[in-house]
Amino acid sequence: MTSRMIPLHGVMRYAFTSPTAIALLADGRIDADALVSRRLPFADAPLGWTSTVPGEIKTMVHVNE
Amino acid sequence: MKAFLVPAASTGIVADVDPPRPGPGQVVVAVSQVGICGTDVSMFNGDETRIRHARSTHPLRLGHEWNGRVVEIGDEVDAKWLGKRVTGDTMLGCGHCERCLNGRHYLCEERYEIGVRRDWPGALAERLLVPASALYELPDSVTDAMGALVEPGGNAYRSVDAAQVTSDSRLLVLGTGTIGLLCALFAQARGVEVHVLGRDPEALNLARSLGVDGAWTAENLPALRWDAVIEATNASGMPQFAVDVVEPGRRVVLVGIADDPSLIDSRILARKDVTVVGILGASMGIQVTIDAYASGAVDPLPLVSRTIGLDELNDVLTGVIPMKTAGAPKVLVDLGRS
Repeated sequence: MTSRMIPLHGVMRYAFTSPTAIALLADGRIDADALVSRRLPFADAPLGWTSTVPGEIKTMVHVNE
Repeated sequence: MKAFLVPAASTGIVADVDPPRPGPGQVVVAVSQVGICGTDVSMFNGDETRIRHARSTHPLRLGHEWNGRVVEIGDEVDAKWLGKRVTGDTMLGCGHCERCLNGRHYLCEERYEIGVRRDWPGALAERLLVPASALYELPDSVTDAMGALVEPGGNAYRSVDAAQVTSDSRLLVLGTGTIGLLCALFAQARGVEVHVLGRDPEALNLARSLGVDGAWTAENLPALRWDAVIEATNASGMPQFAVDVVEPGRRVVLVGIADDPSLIDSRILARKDVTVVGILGASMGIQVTIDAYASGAVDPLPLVSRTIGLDELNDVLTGVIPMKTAGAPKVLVDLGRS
């Protein structure tokens, strides 16, 4: 890192970036829906831990369904 | 002309060699004073990794912290340089790769480094060949000894700059060698609260005499909030120590280079939201350093332990003459003395 002058940034969570992230989602510039690999109703939420699906990225639990 | 040659590990001789002739765009400098750096010491001692990394071969021609007077100029060089007191950038990029063209010539893959890399003959000689594009003029208020301390000063200036400290910050500098103490001085000039950590009691006393706010050993370092930590040692464990003690969300600057790989647990960087920055060379800090020495904002001279002739250098590098005096870390070679 020293002899090639490479900075290494540790990133701990979102630190003041939520408004930017919400704006990017609202504009459609980031398609977060593409990352949702499965949707579960609240009653089936335990399946999120006990049953995996191929190509799983993000399981979304709908707490009001 | 006389030059210091390293024909093999831990062996130095003063020999007569052909003086350089300036090619197009180049000048020849009559060298005045040269600082001896940790890089010189490790290359003298035959650190094979470093020599291989530098793509240099024996006999080594060392010396990259220097000043002198331009005595010859080649074709295409502005005649204004003739007779000027100068120092110069160690880093000589190829001038046409992408890095050179966007201001990172000091990271050019094909660069020479005067007295370090790809066998560009160093300043431990009566005459030194330098491209005119690498020259910096020295005002009269910057003495020859100060001129030889511009290169380490530029490294220190850039390290303090990369630490992003302000007059509200408290900085911890690891190491009391030339770079560590120069970092302390440049940080003081910015009004930063500066503490240093070292092992040598005499060097810690020297740091206190320079007015640092605290000079500590690893055993008595207080548990304060360190807004930035500059690592300027050659101990492979210290970069991780810097990451461990720095305030979360702040910066660690690495300017020291250990002989062995210095590992950092990157999980701690992520959890602490810490940024680690590497600093190589003085290039972008040379003019600022000359200005700081000229104005008196930084006085590097208390760091000079002794000034020797070229004939005494082998005794210093082999330990017959001690490198340090009363904690002062920097040996200067005066080419006019031998």
